[in-house]
Amino acid sequence: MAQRIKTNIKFYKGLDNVADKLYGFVVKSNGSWRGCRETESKKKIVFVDTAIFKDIIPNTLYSCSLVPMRNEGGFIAKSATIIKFPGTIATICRNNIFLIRVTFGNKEYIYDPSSKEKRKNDIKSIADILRSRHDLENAMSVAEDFIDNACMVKRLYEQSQSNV
Amino acid sequence: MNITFKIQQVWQYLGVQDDEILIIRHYNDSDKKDEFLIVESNPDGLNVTTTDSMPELGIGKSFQLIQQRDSSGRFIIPSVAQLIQDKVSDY
Repeated sequence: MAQRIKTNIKFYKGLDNVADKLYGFVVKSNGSWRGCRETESKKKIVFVDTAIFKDIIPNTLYSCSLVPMRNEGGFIAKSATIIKFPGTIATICRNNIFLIRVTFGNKEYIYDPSSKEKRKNDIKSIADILRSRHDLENAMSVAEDFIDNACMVKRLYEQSQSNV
Repeated sequence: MNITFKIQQVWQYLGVQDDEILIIRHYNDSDKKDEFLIVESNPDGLNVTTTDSMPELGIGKSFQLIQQRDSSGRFIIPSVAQLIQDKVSDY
């Protein structure tokens, strides 16, 4: 029986212009395989087993169990469990800076009440995005925590503006 | 890991300035309740005090606040090493 490899991978859609075809890449480093970007040299391709295909969300990190293809040209992901990162909410109020950063993994969402951009100044939009994230641990609680902090920052920002 | 060391790491990671206060929300496992750690810089290093509720914050005082929940939903002092590791692993 082929040896299974455990590693973390992201999958993407649309290989060879086939819209639904999911694929990812791994590279061997320090004797073990790890997920990597397409730009990496000496990478091997990973396809998703049809049994789990429909559960995969593209561009999201999964803990996977891989088996080598028969031709050794790559691997097949036989199981995949989504990796959830803890959300960190960092708030800063300094002079004329009023900002919240919500980070998890390599994702970052910024709330800035002084911004002209809706994606940065709209508390509800940011909270809705946080609630919908599959890769955020305790997504509902993090969204509520974010709202509490954002309301405080908004109040302090508005006070600072009325004092100008 | 030593709590003081973790707080120092968070202070440096966020780039808190000496005239600011750092507030860290965390769950006190011994007392079974949420607390706020108030961290301030003084000539001897960082001074940490604890309060049960969020301190009153006005626009005159610069501050940074950080909070993170663990897998059970409790507030913890974030591990800077873990934050960096998460960022790298989520390539």
